[in-house]
Amino acid sequence: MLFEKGTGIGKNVMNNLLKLHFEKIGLQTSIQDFGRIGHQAFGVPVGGAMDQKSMKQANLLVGNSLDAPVLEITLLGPRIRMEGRGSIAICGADLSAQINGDWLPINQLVKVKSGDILKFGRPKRGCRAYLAVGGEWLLPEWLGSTSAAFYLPDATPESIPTKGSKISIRTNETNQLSEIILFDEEKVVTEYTIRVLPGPEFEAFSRTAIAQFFSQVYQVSNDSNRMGYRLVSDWKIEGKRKELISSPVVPGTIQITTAGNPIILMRDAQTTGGYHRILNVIEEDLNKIAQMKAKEKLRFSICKSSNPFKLLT
Amino acid sequence: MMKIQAFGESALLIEFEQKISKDIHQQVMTCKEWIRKNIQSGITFLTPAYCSLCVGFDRQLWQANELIPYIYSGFDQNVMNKRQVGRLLKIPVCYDFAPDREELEDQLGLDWTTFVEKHTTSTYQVYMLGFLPGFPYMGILDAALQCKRKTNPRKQVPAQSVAIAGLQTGIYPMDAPGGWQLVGQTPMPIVDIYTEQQFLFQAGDQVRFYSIEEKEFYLLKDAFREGHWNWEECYE
Repeated sequence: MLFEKGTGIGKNVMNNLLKLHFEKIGLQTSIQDFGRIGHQAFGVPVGGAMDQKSMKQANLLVGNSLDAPVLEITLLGPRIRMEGRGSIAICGADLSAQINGDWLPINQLVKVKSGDILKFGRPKRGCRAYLAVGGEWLLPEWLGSTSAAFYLPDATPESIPTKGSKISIRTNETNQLSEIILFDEEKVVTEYTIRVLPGPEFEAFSRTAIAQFFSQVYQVSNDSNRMGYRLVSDWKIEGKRKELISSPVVPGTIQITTAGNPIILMRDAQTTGGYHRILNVIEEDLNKIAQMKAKEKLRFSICKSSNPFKLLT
Repeated sequence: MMKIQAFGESALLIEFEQKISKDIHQQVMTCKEWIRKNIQSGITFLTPAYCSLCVGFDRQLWQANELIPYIYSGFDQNVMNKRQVGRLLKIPVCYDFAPDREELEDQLGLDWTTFVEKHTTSTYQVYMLGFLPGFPYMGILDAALQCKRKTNPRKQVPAQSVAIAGLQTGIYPMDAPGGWQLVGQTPMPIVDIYTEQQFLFQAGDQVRFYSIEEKEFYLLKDAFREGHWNWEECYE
């Protein structure tokens, strides 16, 4: 048994466990952190929280390191019964969280105790909420990360909760904040503007096609997930494109399919691809896309260079 | 000619002559080694492919416009590492488990014995891993075996299926959707999260297939599960 010397609270720190019992799973609930970087040469996706900004905010509130694991909750949330005491925070999407039937505000630190039931209701704003818990998540890592590997579930069995499963956190309630105030998050956005940089095959498209691409409003298709967001519009990039030899892609790469539709590659995207890479979304705006739901609209705006971000249009 | 450009905010894409060949791939691998040796901090990942290399960097330490001239001036693509012959792996394949056998016999105008003979004669190079964790893209396939992808990709290809498409041959590490033609199955898992190594293949490996009977397939499969047969046996 380990005790922190001199603090006198060591025993307390060590023994407090908060257990999350999953009574319902929701649409897609998984553990995520910053992902696993450096294994792409073996074809392993980077993974990690889709909206890393919200993940960091949640971890900041509960006093964890910013890259600590969080629960990523998509649209329809789980039902979780608490066992033990601890503090939690939810950031990102507003999915109508409730504790014991009472409305639970997002972007705030909340204390929980044994028997509390955390559940979610109608998605009000955004697509993905992040639940952080103050302390150390007792979860095995695969290749340096706890992020759920949906493509190889055996690698991270505890990061993909199932009905009746539980996850334990050794709680720590130091360095916490009571709330964070976000200035622009409450605004209802009808059309997002996503900033992009030219991709490797940008020059392969005609000037007219590029001009048309940037004047277009795109809609997020139903067929969008942690691997990629497919976009639709009534206009398609035409023209025969030379077949490419498979080459690396990164989260944020926008590919143009043979049919002429864009796909934005997200965190769980594969590491190589053969479609034309027209653009790359800037990393900050990838977090915005992660909060977009099917049918929502976006348009693109090109940056001149990545340092600093200068908008051309 | 080598071409380097920024790829997003925290990566570069280095492209060589766009063709599938061992010589070009040798340039990719030499460049990867050069970066690994010469830029010792702030490189987050290196992803080699057929004729391109993706270099991830920490943008708190580097900017693309510092790294690009550094690589252009320091790396000479005419000075290749002495060709290091990669590890040679021998992979058993049961060609009786070939759902696309008839389609391929028709398309290629070959009988299956000839197909198997040709597929097991060449030594393939692993050009890259991608699509799925541990999936090896190998080539170059004998001209007589080069075929089209399936018109309708399968929703579920069984793990360890050996497949071909165009110039390439590969192995599915896990059950996954896929559009390649299935020509056999290996009893050897190629991803094993319970080992230190995790992935059987790496870019640069040399691979040869050998044909086994159905009976042997099941024997080897059991042997692997029981720990009497492992990846070590594949290496020459």
